Amino acid sequence: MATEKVSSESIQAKHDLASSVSWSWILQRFTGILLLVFLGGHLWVEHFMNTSVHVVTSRLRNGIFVVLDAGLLITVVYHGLNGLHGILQETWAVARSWWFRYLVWALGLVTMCWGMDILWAFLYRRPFLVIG
Amino acid sequence: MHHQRTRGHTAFIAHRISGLLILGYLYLHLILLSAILLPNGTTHFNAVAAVVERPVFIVGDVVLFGIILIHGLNGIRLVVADFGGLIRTSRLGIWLTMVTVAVLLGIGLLVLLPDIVR
Repeated sequence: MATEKVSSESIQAKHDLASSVSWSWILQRFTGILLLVFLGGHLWVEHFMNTSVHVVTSRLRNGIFVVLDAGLLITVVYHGLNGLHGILQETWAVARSWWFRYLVWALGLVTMCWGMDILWAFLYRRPFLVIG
Repeated sequence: MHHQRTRGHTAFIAHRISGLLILGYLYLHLILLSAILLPNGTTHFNAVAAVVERPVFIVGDVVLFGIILIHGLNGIRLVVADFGGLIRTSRLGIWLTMVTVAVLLGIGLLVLLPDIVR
């Protein structure tokens, strides 16, 4: 009896797993693993190699740190907003509308451009898009 | 989706809450860094940096580090469970995650303590 119940449960679980595999599911795991490297590196650099504000700002004029931070920005925005999209879809019917994903993508692209402009401003001492 | 009130369910809730908090922090981080976008950006950025170097904000850094550890290490547990085909939540995995969070958070606290108590 007990073994029968377990096996039917595991078949159901396998079915759920297979039907839930999508590009966003795969990319969520892929960006999650990338973030361990990017965010781990970011925290290490900012706290163990950081001595002053001057050092942080001069480090952000170095191309390699800008590339690493741009990589972190893209992965964290995708991972964070994809995660938020998933939570909203489970709890709010509007988030399941066909157009909602485009809204999340628009927010993500705006956030990425915003972050890129900050990195540009550190690199060239003035923003690409001047807001102030 | 049906979730039983188990350790796995608590980890599921913790993963969502920590994820939302980190996403909120991302936007706070971008807002503070946006000081560099203002005219004479470096001056404004230095002013913001001087504020967030105060001990109370370093305590906030430790809390943030803890939240990141919970999300990141529980994320590793989930990926291992996904690719290892372990559908059922392993008690060992949960304990291993909690112990690693505690150890790394302790190390982080020791590293940042000189900036809090000074």
